[in-house]
Formats: sequence, structure tokens, C-alpha cells
Amino acid sequence: MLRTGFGDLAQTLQTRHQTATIKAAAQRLGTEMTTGRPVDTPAALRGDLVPLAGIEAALSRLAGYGAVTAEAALFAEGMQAALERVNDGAMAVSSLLLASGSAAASAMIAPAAREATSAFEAAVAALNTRLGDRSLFAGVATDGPALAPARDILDAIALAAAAETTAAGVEAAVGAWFADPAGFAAQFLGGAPRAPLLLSSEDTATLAVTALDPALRDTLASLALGALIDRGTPPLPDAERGALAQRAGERLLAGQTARAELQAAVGTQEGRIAAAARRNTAETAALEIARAGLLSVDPADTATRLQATQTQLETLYAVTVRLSRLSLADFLR
Amino acid sequence: MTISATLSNALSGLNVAARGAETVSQNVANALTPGYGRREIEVSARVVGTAGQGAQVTGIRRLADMVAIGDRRLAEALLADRSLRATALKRIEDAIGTPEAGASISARIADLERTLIEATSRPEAEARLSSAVDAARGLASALNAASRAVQDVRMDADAAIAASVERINSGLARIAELNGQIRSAIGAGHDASALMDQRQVEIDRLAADLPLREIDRGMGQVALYTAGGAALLDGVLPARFDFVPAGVITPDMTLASGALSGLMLNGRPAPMGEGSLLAGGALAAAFALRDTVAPSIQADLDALARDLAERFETLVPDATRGPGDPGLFTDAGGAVLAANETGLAGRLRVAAAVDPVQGGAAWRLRDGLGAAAPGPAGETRLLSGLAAALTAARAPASGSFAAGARGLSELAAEVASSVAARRLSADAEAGFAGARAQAMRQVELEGGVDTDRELQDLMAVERAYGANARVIKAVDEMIQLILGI
Repeated sequence: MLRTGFGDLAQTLQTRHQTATIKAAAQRLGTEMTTGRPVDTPAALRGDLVPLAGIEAALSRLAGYGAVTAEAALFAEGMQAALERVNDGAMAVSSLLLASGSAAASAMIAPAAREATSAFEAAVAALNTRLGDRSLFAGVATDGPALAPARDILDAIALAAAAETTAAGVEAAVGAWFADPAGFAAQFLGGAPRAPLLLSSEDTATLAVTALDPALRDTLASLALGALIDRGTPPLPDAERGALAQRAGERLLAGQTARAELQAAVGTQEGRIAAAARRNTAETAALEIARAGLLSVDPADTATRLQATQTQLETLYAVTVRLSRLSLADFLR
Repeated sequence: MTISATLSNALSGLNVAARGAETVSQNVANALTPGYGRREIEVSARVVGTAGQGAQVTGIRRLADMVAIGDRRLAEALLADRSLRATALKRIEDAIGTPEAGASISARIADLERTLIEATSRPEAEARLSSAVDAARGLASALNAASRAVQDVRMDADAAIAASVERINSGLARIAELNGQIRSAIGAGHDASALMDQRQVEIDRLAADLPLREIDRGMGQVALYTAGGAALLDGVLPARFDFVPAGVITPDMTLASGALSGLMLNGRPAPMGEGSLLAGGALAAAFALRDTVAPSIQADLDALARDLAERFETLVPDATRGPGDPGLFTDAGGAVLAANETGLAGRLRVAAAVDPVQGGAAWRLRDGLGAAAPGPAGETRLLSGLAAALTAARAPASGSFAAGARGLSELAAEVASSVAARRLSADAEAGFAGARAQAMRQVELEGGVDTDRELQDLMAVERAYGANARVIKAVDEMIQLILGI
């Protein structure tokens, strides 16, 4: 093509277009440099958002499980402490009762029985423990106490055993009351055991121990025997009181295994919760690294390109100035 | 005789030089005028009888690179088409959101799952249940917003079609009129270049709407066809387009249902789909957005909304809810029915029973939607069920998804990905078309007015003028000499 001129507008158009292109690139690189994220996420992922959505959903889920494990650990710890208190009280009373039950020490029966009453009250209080707004041993009815007040329970037991005249009779009557759905179970104010708690997509913890647990029920029954001696209902001869104290002490001692097993079970759940929390934290870290791999921009690379763009823009300005000075009109005098 | 012939020759030279200077000044004055075609005078030797008698201007030529202009117009049409699609898709993409943005549909789903999991930890805490309800409401409103964005795109496309049709009709009428004026001017022997500049500008105005082919019919007349071959103007009468804008558009309004207007060309329906004679410009792109692209995205959003609602209806064992009752999400308060799926994403609401804003109570999330009174405060089975329903693998009942069961979050990401992928490809194509249009405009403008060249021409004209004036002076002296004898 024979070219006899180069239109003025062509040059302006070219400069304008180049300036716009380079400025847009500089703007984009500048934003990416400061935010560390690509300006156009779908473009950076080539339009496939499914992996990123998967990572984001998993991270959000793990944040939720983070709250669950933290609180579950707290509740399990609270249960463990309450069980510990019940066991400590039972063991202390057990040795006192055993000592007083031997024939030579009938004078020690009364203080030991008094101890049994207070241990019973302490045990009921421990089982009614609230952590924040949550009752720990009441099953799903977390908004109220697990058991009726200790006095009311002892009153009911005393009523059930009122007609007995022997230690064995009292023990049998108390045992029957604790097994009777209208007896101890009626004093339990809680609900069904709580459902297993999801700690992550796979792990669960079961903090389903309620005040109705056989180990706790047996401990309360044994402490109640001591408390009945303290009350003096039913009135028993000294020998029978000694025998009852002896029996109560023995039962408390024997119940230690069941209580230890219960504590061990809660301990196992605590272990599961801690392990799940650890796994969740590790998974979160791994997912965050994966997300950074998908979404982050390399600062060194971006900085280099920003530098190059700046140089390009400066060159373009210099060339524009030179070209605009080149006009025949300036030389015609 | 020869002295007067000399004088006459010199005068004709002066005349040509003056016309040359006029053309140069015209060109320089229009150096920055868009659509201006550079002029050149055509000069030839004047012949009287058989002898040469000076020089004469035989005409003024308007120079325009019609090949570059034609290619530029086609590129501009393609650019307008693809940019319109890319902009609209970007708008929908922004409404749906990318997973890492907090307001996106994906993030809202993740939020709902997280708050439900947190609620299982402390189901007795009112705050936990409320934030789960808030998250559910947030998810419903994110879907509503996305659906609204899709319908906004359709409404804008409808309005753009109306504006485009108006522009084409009035533009074609003006071009036809200019054609007539140019014919008269040429017939009368006048310079029609200015009219041609004007006509070129008018045709350029329509280049974005339709891919135009300009055909020279001689005598300065042009005919206009679309690249697909539809006649827009050939002869005196321009083609006539008719279109009735709808104003407000809802998801159920389609071209097929008759609620939306199609395009009429000369009183006959002009199909606008793939392979249409009018394809390849902003007009066709607006039709595609209104009738195929946006409705297909709406269908995917509706399928997503339906999958969400059905998950809570079928996967959550809630004994308090009667059979056929809606789950956590409702179709504007009622049950979600397959027959009413169109537009569901825009009508999705959280069940009134759990939403304090609508007079419900958040504890129903824990105790069941139909529960009359709060149940045990520590119950978690239903909450766990709700959280599990979101991630459970389930095959969507509708929508343009690949077969297979998946979680809700993946389904939402697939909807977002399909929009993003379409936007990126429209972006890339707009980029290519833009580069091509830029290159063609560059070629066109390179042939435009170059002031340096005009000044060079002006110097030559000046020299010629001076020389001719000098000849007249010499002739004058010769005549004085003779008169002085």
C-alpha cells in the first residue's frame, strides 16, 4: 500500500489506547499487591469455583466444630469435677462409717452419720451443678436442676423406710425405693440422656451421664443409709444402727469401682473431644494453606510486574511528549 | 493572442492554487473530526480545441478506506455483543458472589451450616438458635437478590432492545434521506463530500447494534445489509423494525408465553436465535440475554432453591411437621411445589414459625416447626439433622446439572462456576473483538488527515501561487512595454 500520510487521529488513538491499557494493568497489579488476592477471583480459578467453595465450606464448618469442641471440653471437665466431688465425699464418709460400725465405737456413729447427711447433700448439689446456663446431669432438660433438693429426697426415703426395724430391712426398703420408678426416678427432674454430639464430620462425643446413672444412684442410696441413721428414722436399736453404718460404709467402698468407671468413661469422652479439636485445628491449617495456594498472588512476581508497568508507562509518556513536539507547523517560520 | 493566453494560463494556475489552499484549509480544520474523509482536488490540463490552455480543477475526491471501515464496523458489532453479555453476566456473577466473599450464596450456606453446628453445642442458648435463623434468612435473601439481579438484567436487555430499535429506525431513515440528498448534489454537479461524511457518521452510529455491510450502488448511493444478509436499506425505503418493551419482567414472562415482545422486521417476525440474519451485534446480544442466557441462569438458581427447600423437607425427621408442610424454607410461605419452580429463588423465605421477624420463635428450630410449646432445652437431634441435611449428598431434581448426588454447597458453587465460566469466555471474546476493532480503527485513521502532509501541500500551493503571480507580473511588464512605444 502506498502510504502518503499518517493521520493525526491515528497517533492520538494509539497513545490513548496504550495509556488506558497500561494504566488498567497498573491499577490491577497495585490492588493485588496491597490485598494479596487476585482482583478477579473467577478468572484466577479459570471459572471453576467448586474447589474454593469446598474449602470455604469446610473452614466454616470447622469453625462451628471449634465452638462445639471448646464447649464440650468445658462441660466434660465440669462433669468430671462434679463426679470427683461425689466420689471424694463418698470415700471420706465410707471410712468414717466403717470405723464407727465396728462394735467398739458406737459413740462415733452419730458424727459419721452426720457426715453422711452432708455428703448426701453435697452429692446432690454436685449433680445439680450448672455451668453457665446449662445443667450438667439433667440430660436434655438442661435448663433445670437434675435432682429435687436433698431434704425432699431424704424425706421421701425416710417415709419409705419408716416401718423397718432392722438394718437389713432398711437397706432393702431404701434399695427398693431407689429402684422404684415412683421413688428415686420421680425425684429426677431431668430428661432423656443427651444425644451424641458431633465434634467433626466423623467424630462424636457422648456426654450422656445423668443423675440416674446406676453408679451415682447406688452411691446416693448408700449415703442415704447413713443419713437415715442421722435422722433417727426409723428408730433402730444401737446394734442395728452399727450394722447399718457398717453396711453403708461397705457399700460406698464397693461402689468406688463403678464410680471410677463412670469417671473413666467421661475421661474417655474428654480425650475424644481433645483429639477431635486437635484434628480440626490441623485440618483448618491444611485447608488455609490450600486456599492460599488457590487464591494468593505471589508478592515478588506482582511487584516485578508493577515495576515493569511503571517503566512502560513512563516510556510511553516520554514518547508521547516527543511525538507531539514533532510538527511541521513548529518549523514553518 | 499568446500574451493574453499566457495571462489566462497564469490565472487558471492561480485559480487551481486557490482551490488547493481551500482544500488544505478544509482538511486541517477537520483534522480531529470523526468520520471526516480527507479531500483531494483533482487537477487536469485545460484543453481548448486541441491546444492546452492552463490547468483546471475537475473535482474534489473524498478519500476513505472502505475496507478498513467495513471491518471496523463488524468488529465493533462483535465487541458490543460480547461486552453486553460480559457486563450482564458479571452483574449476575457479583450478585451470586464468589465463595470467599461473605455475602455470596456459598458463604451463606456455609454460615447456615456453621451456626446450626454451633447451636447443637448449646441448644438451650436463644442466641445460638437466633443466629442460625438469621443465617437461614440471609441465605434466602441472597438467593432472592441473585434472582432479582437476573431479572434486572432481562429488564435492562428489554429496554436496550427498545432503544436499539428506535436508534436503528431513525438512523436508517436519516441515511435514506442523506442518500437522496447526495444523489441530487451529484446530479447537480456539486461536491457531496460533506454529506458523505455525515452519512458515514450515521452508519457508524448503528454499527454497534447490527453487524453492517455497506455496498456501493454508484452515484454516491449506498445500500446497507447485515452481515447475515438481511436488507436494511437498498433503494429509497429503509427497513422498519417494531418492538414493544415490556417494562417489568418476572421470571415466568417469556417470549414463548407471549408476555414478551419479539422483533418484527417490515411487519414480519424476525427470529433472533442462533444463526439469525440479525445475529452478531448488541441487538442480538440483548435478545439472547433476555430470552436464553438469563432464563437459563434463573432456572439453575430455581433448581438450587428447590434443592435447598427439599433437603429440609425430606431429609430432616421432624415429627411435628405435617406431611406436605414446608420445611425450614418456604415458597413465599407455602410448600415448595415442582410445578411452581420457575422464579422460586426470588420467592424463597424462611418458615414463619421459626422467624422472630415474622412472628415465629427460634426455639422451633430445636423442637420442630410445628411444635406448640418449647421442648427439652438440651435436645439436639433436630439441629444435627438440619446441619446434616445441608451436606447430605442428594441429586438435584431439576436444573442443568450433571447427574450425581452432591451437597448443597457444591451445587451452589456449580451455579456460580457456570455463570463465571460464561462471563470469562464473553470477556475473552470481547477482548479479541476490542483488539480487532482497535486495529481496524487505527488503519482507518492512518488514512485520515495528516497536518504535516497538509502543510507540505500548502507550501507547494504557495510556491505555485507565487510563480503564477510572477508570470502575471511579467506579462504586465510586457504589456506596459508595448503600450509605452
